[in-house]
Amino acid sequence: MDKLPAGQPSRGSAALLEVEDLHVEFRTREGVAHAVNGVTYTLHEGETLAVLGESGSGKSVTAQAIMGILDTPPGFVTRGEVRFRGENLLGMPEDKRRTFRGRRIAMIFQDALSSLNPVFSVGWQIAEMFRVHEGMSKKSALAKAVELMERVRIPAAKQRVGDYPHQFSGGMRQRIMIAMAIALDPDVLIADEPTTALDVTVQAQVMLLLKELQQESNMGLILITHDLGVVADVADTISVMYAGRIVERADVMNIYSNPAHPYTEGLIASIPRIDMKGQELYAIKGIPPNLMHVPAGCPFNPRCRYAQDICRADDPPLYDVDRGHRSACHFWKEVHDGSIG
Amino acid sequence: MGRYVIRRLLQMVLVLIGTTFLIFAMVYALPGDPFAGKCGDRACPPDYVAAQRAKFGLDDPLLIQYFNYVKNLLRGNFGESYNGITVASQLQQAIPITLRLTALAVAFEIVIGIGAGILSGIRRNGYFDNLALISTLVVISIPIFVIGYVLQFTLGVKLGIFPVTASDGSWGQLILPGLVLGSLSLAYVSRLTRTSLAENLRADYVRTAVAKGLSRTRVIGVHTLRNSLIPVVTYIGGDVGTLLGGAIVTEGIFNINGIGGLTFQAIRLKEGSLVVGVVTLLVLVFLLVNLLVDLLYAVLDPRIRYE
Amino acid sequence: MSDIDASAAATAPTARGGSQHHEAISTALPGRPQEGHGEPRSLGKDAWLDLRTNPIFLISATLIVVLLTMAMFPGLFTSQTPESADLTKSRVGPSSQAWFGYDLQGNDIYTLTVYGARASIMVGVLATTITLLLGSLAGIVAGYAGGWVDSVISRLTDVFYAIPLLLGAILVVFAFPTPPETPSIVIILRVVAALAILGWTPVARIMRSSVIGVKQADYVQAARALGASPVRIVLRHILPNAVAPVIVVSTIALGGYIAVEATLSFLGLGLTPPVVSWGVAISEASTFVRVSPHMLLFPSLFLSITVLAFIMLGDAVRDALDPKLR
Repeated sequence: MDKLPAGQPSRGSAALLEVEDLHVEFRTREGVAHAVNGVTYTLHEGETLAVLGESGSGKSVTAQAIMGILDTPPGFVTRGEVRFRGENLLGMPEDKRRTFRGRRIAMIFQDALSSLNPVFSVGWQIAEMFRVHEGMSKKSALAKAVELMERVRIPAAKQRVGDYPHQFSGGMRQRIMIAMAIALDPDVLIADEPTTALDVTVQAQVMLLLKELQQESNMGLILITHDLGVVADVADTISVMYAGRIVERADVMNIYSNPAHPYTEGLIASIPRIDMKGQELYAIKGIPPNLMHVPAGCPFNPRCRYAQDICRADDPPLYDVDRGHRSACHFWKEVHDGSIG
Repeated sequence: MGRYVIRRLLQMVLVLIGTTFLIFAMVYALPGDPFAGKCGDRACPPDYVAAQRAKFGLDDPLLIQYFNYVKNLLRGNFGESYNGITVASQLQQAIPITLRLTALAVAFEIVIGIGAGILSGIRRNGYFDNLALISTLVVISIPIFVIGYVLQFTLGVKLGIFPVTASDGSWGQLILPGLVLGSLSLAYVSRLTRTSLAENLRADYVRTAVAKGLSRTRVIGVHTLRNSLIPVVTYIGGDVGTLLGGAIVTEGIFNINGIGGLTFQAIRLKEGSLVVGVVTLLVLVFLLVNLLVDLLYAVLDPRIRYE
Repeated sequence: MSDIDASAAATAPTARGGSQHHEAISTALPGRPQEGHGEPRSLGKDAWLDLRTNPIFLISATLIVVLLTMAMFPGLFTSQTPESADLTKSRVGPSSQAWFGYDLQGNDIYTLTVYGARASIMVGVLATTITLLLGSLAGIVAGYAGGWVDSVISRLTDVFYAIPLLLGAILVVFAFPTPPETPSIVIILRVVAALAILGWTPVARIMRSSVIGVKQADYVQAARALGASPVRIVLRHILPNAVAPVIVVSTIALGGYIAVEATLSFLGLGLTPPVVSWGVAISEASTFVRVSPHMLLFPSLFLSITVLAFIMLGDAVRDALDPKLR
């Protein structure tokens, strides 16, 4: 498969990762929480897909299910498929599945301090990828680790390769996690809230780094976040999640300029804008639903200003709004038209 | 790292001063006759009292007494019993025996305690875990002397597997006493290992390790174990105090001529000076071991080194 | 005694600093009770619900109630008294008239054991109460006041903490010798003192770290801003939250104290005749263990069961109160 020029979402080329109708539930003492309810998305080579949603929307759980690192119990995948280059990962026996983890699909997490092992040096942890997966010697693996640290732009990498995670700043630690993740040149990188715990300026640097790395290797990047601002520069496609479902999916330009779902509309309206100084901040009224008792019909209906009886009765499917733009709202047309002009 | 070591040393000095002062005050400086009850059931012979008063300057002001006391301690002079035998001379032969006994106890703690703890920790609420929990609970509840007598009776007298007494102090004879001595601590080590392992298995870095595609064996055996054992190792070190106390009882039951046995006899005969002298020594040893353990902790946990 | 250390290590609030890694499934909406779930649940309520059905808790609690009754009203359990010795029955083994047999003086061992409960448990309860009060006071003052007060109290705690329980108790006993005619109550108090002098330190440490942890909480800052006096803040806001680990440790320590008392009595340093206690009984029985093991067996059994009951209770309460284990 030829690699397309960097930077272009290769919608024409074959899919890298396909998530289809994924359902995940958590069985707890108090009941069953439906964390993921029929999520479908596709990632292509070189594409940056942003999955946007508040906490509790199911975005991280989906990623964990893809990686196969879901806590089971209490989490169970009850339906759906996750295909990597056509092979269904969910059906595989664990030892086969493990060969994909870290090598072909990698993941980085939100809090780098707690996500890195505190008692081993960062060099040791990065080098581990080479020692374990490629059988390299300690020396060569460590040399590779230094290379990687330089690639993610950690100053004085050679001297710092023996340092421990707590000796680095937040932004540096996140870069180390990234270095570990891209060590074996994976096809897919899933970044779960990579910049949420960081300062704003550092956020920008890390996002830039991610984008560069992606363009260099043409890997697919899934960016999970709740922050609309972070996503605008970096993403090609955006899938908005709510209550375990995808409620809207579009190119980045269309999401911001022509949202077709009330939730997306609300999210965009809540972004504080500098030209609205002095006015009240907008917030979507109400709170996300309890995943054990998701409202009937459209899950967003209790908070929606467009809601009618049909919304309380029928769970909307993903309607086609435009090419590559879909929305799970019965009144997508009103929302969409209202937002244009 | 250097700063950490210096800080701990300073703290240790403070504690040493405080502890020796406390012991000194309690035993010698409180109102009343400091020699009451120190020479068996009768009163101490007057010349002994006079000699001790002169030697330790018991008519001097409190602080000077204390300084003399510490001076004597530093010179290795832990006191004399009323028949003139110094504590120090009796200790020379006893120390190696007790060292062996304690070493065996610690070995049991490590092998059985950590081993059982790991097995319970990886499969919490499994069959082995419940078994281990119950047996450790039982062991913890039975006081050491009961365990000592029961094991001595069943394994020694009735079944004849182990020697009943250990008057030589050779390794073979010390196995059963070592097990008895380590039993209580072993149970705690097992539970602590279990809890620590279970807690670490839920940590974020474990999730990362799994996401890196590492095998379960490696995730548990390399990543988690190292973190989990830190509190266990420090516990074992700190537990030496219990071992020292327990040695008194264990050596008494098995007739071992170590420090504990010495103390046991002295207690029986109510030779207060000897008892106080030896116990003070044991406390000081314990403090030093604590210091070593704290330093060891810094080696194991890199986060501490740079505090 | 290191059991307190271990439980301290296991219960002291561990600041892990990491996020719980399954994405929070909020089972309760913030603030608003969910229909069908009843009132919002607190940790205490959850713990009680757990405990009510926990067999370990039920068994140990029942045992303790029985033992306490035995300690307070020994007459309910046996018709004889420890003074009714019959030398002809010296060291006779168990039979249908005397389930546990007889000791050296011909006392019925069952009776001895029942009466022994009183002294042993009293020592444990008294020691625990004193350490709880002393330790909590020290810990609260140190934690709340901070500054040099904290430093002084902490160093003091370090010094006492450094002495192992058994060794220290031996020292205390030798520091306060009692002439042969001392009344029983003084002997008992001496043992209690020996235990309490050293036992308060773990409680103080835990209380102090709990107080420090809670002191930073927003609701405490709010109370201070509203002008609440320190005493009120401590009693109403800090104490309820800091109290849980202390209760757990103290319950377990109670069992430990009973065991240490027995050890001291066994060495001849704790309770002595005419006080009747399990330790005393075991001490006398030890010389005859090879010939008449029943003399050792029964008091040991009761002793172990008592210690076990307290430890199990403490364990069960700790598991119920620990939100991380859910």
